[in-house]
Amino acid sequence: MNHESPVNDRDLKRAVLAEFLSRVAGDDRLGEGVAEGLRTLIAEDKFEQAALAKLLGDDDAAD
Amino acid sequence: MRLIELHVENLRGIRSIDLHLDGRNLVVVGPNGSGKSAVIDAIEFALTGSISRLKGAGAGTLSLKDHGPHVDYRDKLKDVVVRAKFVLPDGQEAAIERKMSSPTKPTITPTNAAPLLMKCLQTAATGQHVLSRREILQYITAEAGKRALGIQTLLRLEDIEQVRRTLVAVKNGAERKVNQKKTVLRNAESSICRPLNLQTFSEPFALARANESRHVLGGVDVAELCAASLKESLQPRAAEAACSKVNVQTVSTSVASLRTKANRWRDLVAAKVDRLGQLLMEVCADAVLRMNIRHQRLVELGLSLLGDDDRCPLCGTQWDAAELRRILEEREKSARASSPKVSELQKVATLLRTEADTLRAELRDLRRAATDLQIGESAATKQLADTIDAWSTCLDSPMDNFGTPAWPSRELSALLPSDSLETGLLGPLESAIRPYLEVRTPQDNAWDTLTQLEVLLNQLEDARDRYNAATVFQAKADAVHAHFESARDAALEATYDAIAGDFSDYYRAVHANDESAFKSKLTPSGPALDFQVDFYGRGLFPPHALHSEGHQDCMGVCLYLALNKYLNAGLLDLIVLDDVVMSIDTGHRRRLCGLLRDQFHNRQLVITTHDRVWAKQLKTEAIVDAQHLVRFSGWTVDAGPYYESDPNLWQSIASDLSRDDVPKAAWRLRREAEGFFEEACERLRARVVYAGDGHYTLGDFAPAAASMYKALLKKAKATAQSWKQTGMFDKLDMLDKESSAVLALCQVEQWSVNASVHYDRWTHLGKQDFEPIVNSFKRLFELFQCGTCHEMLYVITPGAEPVAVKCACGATTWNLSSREVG
Repeated sequence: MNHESPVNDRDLKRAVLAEFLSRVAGDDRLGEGVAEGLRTLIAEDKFEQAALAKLLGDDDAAD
Repeated sequence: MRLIELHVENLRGIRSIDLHLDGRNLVVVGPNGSGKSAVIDAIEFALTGSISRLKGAGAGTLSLKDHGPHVDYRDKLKDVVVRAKFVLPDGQEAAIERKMSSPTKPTITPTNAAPLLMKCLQTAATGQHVLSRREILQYITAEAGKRALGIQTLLRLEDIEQVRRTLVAVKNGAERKVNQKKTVLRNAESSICRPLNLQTFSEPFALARANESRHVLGGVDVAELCAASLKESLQPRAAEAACSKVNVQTVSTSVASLRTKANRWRDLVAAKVDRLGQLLMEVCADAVLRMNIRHQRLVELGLSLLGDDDRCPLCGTQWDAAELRRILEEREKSARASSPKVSELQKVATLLRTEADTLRAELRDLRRAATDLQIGESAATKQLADTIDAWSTCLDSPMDNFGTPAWPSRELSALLPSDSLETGLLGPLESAIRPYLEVRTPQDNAWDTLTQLEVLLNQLEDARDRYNAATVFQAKADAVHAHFESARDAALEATYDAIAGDFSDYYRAVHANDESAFKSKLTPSGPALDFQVDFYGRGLFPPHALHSEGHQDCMGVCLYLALNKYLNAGLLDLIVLDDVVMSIDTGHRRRLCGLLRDQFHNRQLVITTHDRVWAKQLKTEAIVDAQHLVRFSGWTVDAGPYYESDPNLWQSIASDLSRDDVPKAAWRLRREAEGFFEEACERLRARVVYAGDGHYTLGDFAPAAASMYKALLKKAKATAQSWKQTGMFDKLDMLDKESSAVLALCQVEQWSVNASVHYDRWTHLGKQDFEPIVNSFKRLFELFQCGTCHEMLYVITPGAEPVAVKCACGATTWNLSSREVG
């Protein structure tokens, strides 16, 4: 029982997002730019519905 | 972060208390209702500005402001204060003070410690440092969804959940968009049917009709139905329509169509109108049915309002969206099935309304054409149109409208067929367009058809492009959402596996004797979290299915400890266990002590218990030292808990007396003496008169301790004499005389016979009268303590009889085993 390896909430979120971006990058169906766009939205803390919809090709999404 | 000092004033059951933890473990032991949990509340209040037992499920009307203060201080919130001093992860000390008057605005000193302290407080805000019986239930016996919520709150997964919600919102938005675009596409397809005279849209048929028109115009077939190639290589006609106001061909077709529909309407009304009336009468007269309908509508409304945030649209409770939809659909189905009469009524009304709507649309188009052709409208035609409108509206909600003024006064059966339709509209229209139809050539009609089709095909192609784009968007949104959920599940599963592994290790450490092969599994199941544990090698079961309550409590503690390991983030070392071992037996508690000592030596434990045996185990197993084992021996509403722990008792009393505050000084002395003599009774094995309710006071402990002290001293003197240890005897004799004098001054032995010297009267004394009592009690306390190590004396009793009185350092030793003579 190793007691000195706490995984805190920040690590958990980071781990989930890193795995998420890796899976997206490996999906050819999504086309160019989606993985990079998602990475940017996450990095810039702009992961919002409108921005995401626009990135994924919703023509009507607000800028 | 560790707790060094805690000062509490007027919070919950506490009037005033100072606890000196020095960053070490603390155990508070005392009977039920002695104020132990108020200490936990105070720590929580210091850390979070809140008290969790006063909020959330089960708290009802309780509130922090009304029920957080001591009952006598509900109107003096500024006097309700908790001050806590901590050592921070960087080694710096910082203090936080909160008042009930402004619980969310703490005062932090020094101010430069605020950023790190606030970070620690944010960790504390999840409540992950406290385990009480309530949380055990949350982990062990809760259903999977609630357990997941509790554990996910502890794991602070809300940020991850927020990302998921955003993705779900986009995914649902994409789905809605596809549906919208699909409807537009279907409408565009339907629009093409009319000029081509098709019942339903079929691209090959539409292409064939288009090519028929092209043949009429001398063209060859085109291979695909496409606006750009529809008139390819055809010679444009000079005048596309002889009548500039309407498409006479379309009007001609519509006139024929309306005649057919009017006849169909007549047959339908004849077949259904009586049944409709009968059903309406019966349903509207039945109160239960009406209630069922309202319920069904509520469910239908709920279904239509299901949004992106996984919440019930009525009460706001969080759900898995798919699960909530499934339940509502199930209820809707069940509501429909429970009232066949209503279902039949709705079916008949829908049938009539659909037909009425079609009729209304045709009628509207032809009335417009009549206006364009400047044919005056007859009053009968207008009345007919208005009545159909009214019926169509009423049939949309027949049960709401039946019997109201909105219900049409004209009978359905009286509507159609009507001569007025023929004479007022259809006849005049045919007369008006006949001249144009007669002069038009087949080429004119073919060109008109292609022109109209060209416009409609442009709309169809646009609708198709938008629909295709929406499906691509939906596919991407679905894929991204699926990637996120699978990434999250993988990461969480790894964390849950690790937590389950630690949990099993901890549980096995406590239950090594009976469940050494114990294992467990935490499995995310949608938004829920299944928790299963091994039951003696017979398989995995829910933790509360087969294990005893004691085992469940132990699981709760172990799961909490496993979670805590993952949660402290190096910021908050505090673990609070609030009376959580009540169902765990003595043997397993001892092993739990071992687990805490071995695995959690780098955490600060604050443990409350009403069980003296467990408290003693914690001490003998070195979880807590004597100085940090606080005994609450009783509680009153005026004074709060009676406890022993103030290291500066005599200074505090002197300070009170310097302010002439005899009641406060008397309260301190009584509270301290109560704990002191309770421990003295335990250490010297004094006999206290048994109280069935377990409630003991100073009047029970002090005389018993004094009496046993004198008896032991007497025996020690006799022993010294038997061994001819003159020096020891003289020393003990002096102590005997001193103790007699001190006890006389304290009048402890008089309490039961002389009310005027009883400690209950101390608060009424003047300063001059109380000071000698304080001095006497100080000397009395010293009698029970070693002059060198200042630890309290204790008796050694290996068998039935005591053999010695000793202290912790060995400087004090009274031999009680007399020399055997002969």
